[in-house]
Amino acid sequence: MSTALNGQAYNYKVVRQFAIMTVVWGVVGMAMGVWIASQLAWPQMNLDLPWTTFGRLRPLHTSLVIFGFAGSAQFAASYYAVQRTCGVRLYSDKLAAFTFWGWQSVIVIMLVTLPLGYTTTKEYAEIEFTGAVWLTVVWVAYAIVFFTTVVQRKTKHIYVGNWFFGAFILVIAMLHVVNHLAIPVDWFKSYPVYAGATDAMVQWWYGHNAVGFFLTTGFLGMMYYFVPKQVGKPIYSYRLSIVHFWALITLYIWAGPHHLHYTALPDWAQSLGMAMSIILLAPSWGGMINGMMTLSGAWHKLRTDPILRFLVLSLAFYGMSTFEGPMMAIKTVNALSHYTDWTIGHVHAGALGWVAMITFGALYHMIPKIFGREQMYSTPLINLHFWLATIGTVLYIASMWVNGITQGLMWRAINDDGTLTYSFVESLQASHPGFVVRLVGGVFFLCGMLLMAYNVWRTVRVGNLKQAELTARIA
Amino acid sequence: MLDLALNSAAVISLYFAVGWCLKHKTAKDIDEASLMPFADDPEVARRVELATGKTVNAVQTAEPEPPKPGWGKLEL
Repeated sequence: MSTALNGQAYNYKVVRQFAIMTVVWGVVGMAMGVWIASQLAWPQMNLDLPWTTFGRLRPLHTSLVIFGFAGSAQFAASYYAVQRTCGVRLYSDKLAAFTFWGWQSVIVIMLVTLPLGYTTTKEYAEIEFTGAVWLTVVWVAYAIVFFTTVVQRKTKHIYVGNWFFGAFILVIAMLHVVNHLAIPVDWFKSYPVYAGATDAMVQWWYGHNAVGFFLTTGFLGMMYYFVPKQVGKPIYSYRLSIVHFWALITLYIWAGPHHLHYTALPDWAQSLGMAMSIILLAPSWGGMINGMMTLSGAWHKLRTDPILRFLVLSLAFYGMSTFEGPMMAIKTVNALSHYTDWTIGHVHAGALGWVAMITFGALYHMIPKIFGREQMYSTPLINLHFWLATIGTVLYIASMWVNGITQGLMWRAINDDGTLTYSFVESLQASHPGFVVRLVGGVFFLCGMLLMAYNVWRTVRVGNLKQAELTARIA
Repeated sequence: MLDLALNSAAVISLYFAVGWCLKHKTAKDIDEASLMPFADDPEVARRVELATGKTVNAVQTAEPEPPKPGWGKLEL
């Protein structure tokens, strides 16, 4: 391993900026989620205004938490880890600053346009053409900053976490451009170049890989850096991490058609999506086990370290949701689960349990270091956040399981004469208690997020940036 | 038939990709790679060495470069 001196300091400023905005967008995006959950329980919460209806706020919620919260978290974590594992300062301060302000402007565009009703109607890709082009420009700048830093590294080897971050950046660029290919008719309206089943297939190739690469691969990069750092031990098996990387990126990209079971999509494509989804269980669990086993001989640290608890629980939820996903991709299971709340519960097992929890762990690890503090303002508050987040996630996914199976069974029930046993409204009435429990779970999770925001604010307020710069010296 | 061919292609490409990555990597190389997250943190590196018995090629520290002026340096 090369350890040449170069006398520079890491660029922590952009990491600090992205870390703070992760918390800000986390609060706003999750509050939006709680609001729309209340709309499903009590429709009066739509306020009878076009801008605040569920149809407009739901895509805003997903955009804010995916691109605002999870996106900013990955910018922060990748910029932090790539510098430290490559032994060089981030390439180009100005371009890195551009990625920060550019990315925040993308989120603001979403925040303004989606409630106004400007949308492509494509799930997780609702931002209209002009905003999508701007997002591409920012993403290309991100790729230049990240990969040039890797190229300029002082180490012989590229750490495996950076492979995951790199794959995340490249594949998201490809998915975003291909799915957004459209003919604009004005600044805020465009029509996709695809039609019919092809459009659906491209959308769900994108949609599933938004989960696979935006909400998984980048976070695995985070896992491979922050879990060993917090445990104080190297990853359990570095060879397994390489197998994990190649297996995951080889297989994930094929799994999208499972979103279109029993549709006009050709049957062979549906079966291919199902088969690839089942095979995907192997690398997903390989990665999860690799992370978990890193704690071998260090499990006692969980008693006293709430940050490690966040990281380990995130891996547990990752394992759970990557088992549930392939099961739901089996066509016979999907016949029951599809279009029900089970799917919403599955997504949130990943989004709350995996993405948000590992982000919390990574931020609690990173924030004291980049703000020149020994530790966060309050460890008991981290502990309380952990329990609020855990209880909130469990309430959310359990209520959606119950609702989903109830809905699936009620929709399929038929009388002897072939008529439906239940009307759709009856299944909605049966779902109402689950909607309320889901809202309670969301409130728990949001309260945890607010505690985190307070803890971060108190830490940052007394931050010592000079100390942070001193500890950011590069070897 | 097509899905069988695609599945086979995925498995074969996975095999060669992993083989390519691990080619010429000795156990020492792999160990060094896995210890990279600790290399720039001498204090943690010492603890890791104690815990694992492996040697971390921890780095020495250098004086930080003074920040350059410009709009890219604005504090949040």
